[in-house]
Amino acid sequence: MKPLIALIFLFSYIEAESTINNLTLIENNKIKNNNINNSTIKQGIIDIKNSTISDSSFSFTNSITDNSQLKNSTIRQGYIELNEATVQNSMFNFKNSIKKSNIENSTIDQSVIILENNAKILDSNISTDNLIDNLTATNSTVTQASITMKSGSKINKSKITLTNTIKDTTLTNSYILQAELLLNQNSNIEGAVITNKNSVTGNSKITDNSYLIQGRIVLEEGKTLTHNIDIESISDNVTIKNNATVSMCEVTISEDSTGDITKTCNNSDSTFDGGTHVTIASTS
Amino acid sequence: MKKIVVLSLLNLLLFAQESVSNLKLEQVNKIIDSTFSQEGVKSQGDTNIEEDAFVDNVHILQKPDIDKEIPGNLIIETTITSNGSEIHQGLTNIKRGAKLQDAKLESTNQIDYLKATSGESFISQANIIIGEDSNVTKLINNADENIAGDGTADKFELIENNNIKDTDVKNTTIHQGLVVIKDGADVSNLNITQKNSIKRSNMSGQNEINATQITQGHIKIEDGTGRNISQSVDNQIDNLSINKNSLINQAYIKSTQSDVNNLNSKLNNLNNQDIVKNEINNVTMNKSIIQQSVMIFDRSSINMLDKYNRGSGLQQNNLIHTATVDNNVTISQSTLEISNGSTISDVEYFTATNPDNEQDAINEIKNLDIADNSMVHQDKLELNSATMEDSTLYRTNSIKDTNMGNESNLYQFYTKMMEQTELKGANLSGKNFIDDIYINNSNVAQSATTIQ
Repeated sequence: MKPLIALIFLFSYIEAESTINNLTLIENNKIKNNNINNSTIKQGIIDIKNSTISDSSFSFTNSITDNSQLKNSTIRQGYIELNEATVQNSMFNFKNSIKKSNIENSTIDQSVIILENNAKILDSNISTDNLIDNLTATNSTVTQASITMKSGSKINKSKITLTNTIKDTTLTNSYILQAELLLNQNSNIEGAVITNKNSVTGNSKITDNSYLIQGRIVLEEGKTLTHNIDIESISDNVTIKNNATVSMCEVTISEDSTGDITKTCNNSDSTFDGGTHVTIASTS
Repeated sequence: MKKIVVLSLLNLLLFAQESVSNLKLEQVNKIIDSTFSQEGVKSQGDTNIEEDAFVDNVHILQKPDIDKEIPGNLIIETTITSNGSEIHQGLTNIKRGAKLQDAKLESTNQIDYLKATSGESFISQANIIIGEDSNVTKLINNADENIAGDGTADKFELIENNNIKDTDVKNTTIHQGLVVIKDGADVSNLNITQKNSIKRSNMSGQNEINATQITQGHIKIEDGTGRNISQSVDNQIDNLSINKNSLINQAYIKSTQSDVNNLNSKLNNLNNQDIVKNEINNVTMNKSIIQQSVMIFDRSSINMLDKYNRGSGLQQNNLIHTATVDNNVTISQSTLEISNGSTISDVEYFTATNPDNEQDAINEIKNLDIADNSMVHQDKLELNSATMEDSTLYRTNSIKDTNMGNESNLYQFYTKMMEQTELKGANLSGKNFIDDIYINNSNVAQSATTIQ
């Protein structure tokens, strides 16, 4: 009845690749006032394999608020995974917040992009704005706006803006990461402009082997050509103790890379006690 | 069979080469206060249009009053104790090469207080089979009907009201409003209006469904053509206990190797005051499946799909409210699957009119207890080796006051595009809320999209 359809059906087994043009994805994800144990919550997830996306935009607004209690759980809000996929002429805009919540033995990922197996983001803009306010975290990991590139992945001719804020937050044995750009395994960024602003304020406490990392850029195991990195960090009225580590706008660039880096760093009214490690705007 | 009361019974047979115009069949088929204790087939109100017969302007009315929802196919206070009993009410069979023009089937189908808890039994109400090389069209224009561009206008209208109330059934198959279009049959301007319900009317009513298959408004298009399909759906399951490998399908369309042109699926055409269209209320389920509003297109083409174009008054499209499900239960509300070279264009797959208001969620789950490998899908879109063009998918998902446990899963608007699927121009928007829930050892995904 339909020879054409039969033909297409046959070809579909020869090459499996989907093509997406002019995709606009806007997601607004909210979790509040919940009790979540041993579970996985995903909101606004896009998983792209072996496909091409062009002239598209991705906007995520993610929040966890109002006494949400998490134990032994994973929450992913706004998570993009590109595997052998190409995104070109596109825009990523992330706005993430965690407020008035307790987390224990849990993992929260907000606005995470993972490129692997020669995935590419070309001629694109990435912008993130991350807030942690009044959070108590124990034995947990929180990631807000992370871009991980591996296995020959590439970002070309793109602008990356990373803005991070933490206030009134207590971390115990926890790992908080706001805006990380990590390249390895022959991945590279070419022709990028990276702007990063970080702040930790308002009686925040970072204790007991916790890590607070804001605006970390790590370029390793591959040739990178990164231009114009502009970093600003503020730490005000923060208690850091018991072997805690704070790193604000740390840049690590491998020897065959270049970067034009501008930094503004300010630290005031903070308390350091008990073997703490604080690094602000280091470059190596 | 001890007692059968038949108030009105009409069996019609039109033979080959016969030509009939302005045929109107009014059928009322009733089985009341009866017991079926021996294996056998009971058929009421059959219409057979044989090979090459030609019927113009046929109106089959399986309800006594066109303006009221009084059932034309009625089974009430009946008990089936035998193994292998079959009951057919209002079966229409359009056979090889027969032609219908301007066809309309209006039926109100009711099963009340049925008890069938012994052997395997089969019940059908208002089923229609359009067979090999037959077609259902209207070639003559009327002023009040749409006229297609080529000067022909086609019309096949189904208005169904399928109700099952206070039933207690086991090992039973029930089809209400099943339509089969097959083997080269050609149906144009298919307008479907369905109101499907399975409920218990009050606390004293029976409410057990065990090891039973129930379909309400199931349409199968196999190697046929459907042009200009319009579907309006209202599905409700209320106050039931559903157990032991039961399957309930409400408003289920499957097109295989067929052409479908212009599919307009609305959920709010029946009554603008209604606020929910796929609704499950006060249900306990164990090891069973409920599917509400399913459309599957396999090796088919669909040009223009307007799904869930909400009007005023509609607040949720898919609602599960107060339900306890456990032990491998699957609930699906609003499923669209397009596969194997199928093409679809001009898709509008809509949700709330006011997306800033989380009360206005298209997919809402409230007061649900779900456990033991059970699964709920609200709005699933799957494209497999398919092409979709110029499409807007806009969704709002909400989960409130819910307990999840022991490897249970909730999916709200899950989109999967795979195997060389092509998307040309798409807007995907989602607003997802999780509020006041307790989740343990379980998974929730809201607005998850996979492209591969």
